[in-house]
Parts: sequence; C-alpha cells; structure tokens
Amino acid sequence: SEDNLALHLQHYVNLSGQFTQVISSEQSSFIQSSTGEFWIKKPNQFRWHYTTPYVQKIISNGDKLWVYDEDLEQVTIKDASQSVGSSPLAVILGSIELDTLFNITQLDNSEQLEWLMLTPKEDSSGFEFIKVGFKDGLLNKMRLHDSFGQTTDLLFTDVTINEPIVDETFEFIVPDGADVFEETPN
Amino acid sequence: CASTSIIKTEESSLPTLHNAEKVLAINEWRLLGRLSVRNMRQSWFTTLEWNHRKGIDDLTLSTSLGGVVAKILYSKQGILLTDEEGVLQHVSEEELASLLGYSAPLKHMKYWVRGVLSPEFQGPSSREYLDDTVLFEQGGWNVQLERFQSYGEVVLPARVTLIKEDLKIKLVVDKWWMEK
Repeated sequence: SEDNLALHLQHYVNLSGQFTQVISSEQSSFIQSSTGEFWIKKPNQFRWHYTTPYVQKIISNGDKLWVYDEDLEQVTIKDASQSVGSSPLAVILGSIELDTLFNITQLDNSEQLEWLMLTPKEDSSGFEFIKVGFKDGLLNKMRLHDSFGQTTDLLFTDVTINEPIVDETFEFIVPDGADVFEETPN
Repeated sequence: CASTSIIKTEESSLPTLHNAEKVLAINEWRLLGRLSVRNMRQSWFTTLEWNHRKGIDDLTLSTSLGGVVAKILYSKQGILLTDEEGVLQHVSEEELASLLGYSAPLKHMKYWVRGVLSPEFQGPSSREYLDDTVLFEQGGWNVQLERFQSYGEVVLPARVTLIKEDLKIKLVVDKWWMEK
C-alpha cells in the first residue's frame, strides 16, 4: 500500500485546484461547509485559501507559515517547520516518508475511487485516520476522522498537476490594518 | 423549548438599554465562531463551538481542517478537559491555563461574548460608545464589542476583542442559536 500511495503522490511536483470542505460531528447536529482554492509545490510550499463562508489563508513558502483570518484581521507568522507534521497537508505534500508517520493500508475501491487509509503512528496529528481517494491517479477526496467523532470530508475539483506555479503564490502580503504577530522560535 | 436558529435579521447599530435584560433572559445558547489568541510568545487560531446549556459551558476548539484539539466542560462543579487524543482530566483554572498556554476568562467571557457586562465584578463599569463599537473595562480586561447584529429581539456583537496585559483574545461569531 505504501508503494501505491507513493506512486500516486510521485505523479506531481505541483498541484492546484479547488476544494469543498464539510465538517460534521456525531455529537452535534450542525455541519460546517466551506470552499476554497489550494496550490501545492513540493517539497514544502503550499497555499490553502478558504474563500467561503469566510476568508482564511494558510500559506507556507517553506521557511515561514502565515495564517490570516480576514474577519479577525489577524495574521500570525510561525516557523514553517511546525506547520505540516503529520497533518493532512503532509499527505498531499508527500514530501516526507509518509510510512514513517502513518500505517498505510489499501481499502476497497468505492465511489469509483481507489482508497488508501493512513493511520498516524503517533497520536499528535489530531486525527484517528486519514482516507485518501484517487481517481485515475489524481487526488480526488480526503476523509479525516478525529477521536471526538468529528469528520472532515474534502472534495478536490479542477485539479491540475505540474502546471507552473509562480513563487509569489507562496508569499503573503500583510493587508493594511491587520494585527500581525510573529512567533519567536523557541 | 424548541431549538431556534435565529437568522440574522438586519444590521443594527448599538444595543438598546433593555438589550442586556433580554440577552440574560435567554438561558440556553450556542455559538460557532473563530478565535485567535496570542500572548507574548505564542499564538493560536481555532474554530470555536460554544454550547451554554443548564449553566454548563461546553467548548470545542478545532482546527480549520476540522480536527478537534480540545474540549472544555466548564461548570460550578469544576473544569473537565478532553485533549486531542480523547484523554479526559479534571483540571483547575491554573492547570487549564498552563495546558492551553493562556488563561481565558471563561467565567466572564460568557457574558462579554453576548455583549453584556459580567455580573461577577462589583461596582459600576462605565461604557464608551465609539461609532458602532462599545468599550469597557472589567477586572483588568479591556473589552471591545463590534459589528452588532440583530438576532430576533436581541442585539449581539459579531466581533469581541479582549486585552489584558500581553494576552489578546479575538472572537468572531459566525452563527448563533438561542433558546428561551
């Protein structure tokens, strides 16, 4: 299964597209849905941009990580090394040996997708498992499930691979009036 | 009592005099919002679901991608914290502060997020009105309430900023549910 995942992830160096995210919880009736765009450039550059129902940007140029929320008018800047860890972005970035962080198993095909399940070897990712669905070798769906019964479903559309992405995509210009806070590395 | 998700009716300017009474008359409420917290060295961004029911405050903090990072059950009986691995523990206010990395004035926040003064403090608190912002100070906290909106018969702030020494907490509320 690790080889299968590696095979899929090796298809691309650059990846971009749109996403729809739906968070649902066994414990409460409400559902949170949001949409946005994403750009990925291996090994460690990404832009994860929520556009509805509110604007939130999570951007890394490999050195710095910016997190910006428009309504909060807050920008926090952290060291990029803390950003990915064993989070779902680590899977999409595929930049580190995933099999050192996750146990990877092949699941039965469903929804015309080939599914792989990643279970974190360490408990620090915040998720009990991450399922990744590929369609014709392209990333199509992700399902994240945490230990509180909260599930996040991500659907990726208009996915393009290996299209050139300018480096400015992974830089962030602080908007006027925003409250900026840069964390000093320990 | 039926759970009503009161849909924002229209932009409002500022809460009227009787608004506080009406807000405090609502016993059970729930909000969904986004929280940013920063102290001298660190910062946190989380989604916040806050459920106030039968005098118990049930707070769920999660990441933008949905993973729950902590659940806090806050009541007169004490504080029950569940961490991201699902481990439950009773904690004191001090222990909660050291685990979270900051000391959130939950006892007062449950009033401030609804735009009313915390009754936990004695003595008058003068309020300042600046355009569509309300400012006051309680217990060393500078409280700033903005973007008021009408929800049924009450007016609530959609953005709350709390500052005390080097700690800054900002909350925007995306949704309210209220039950009489």
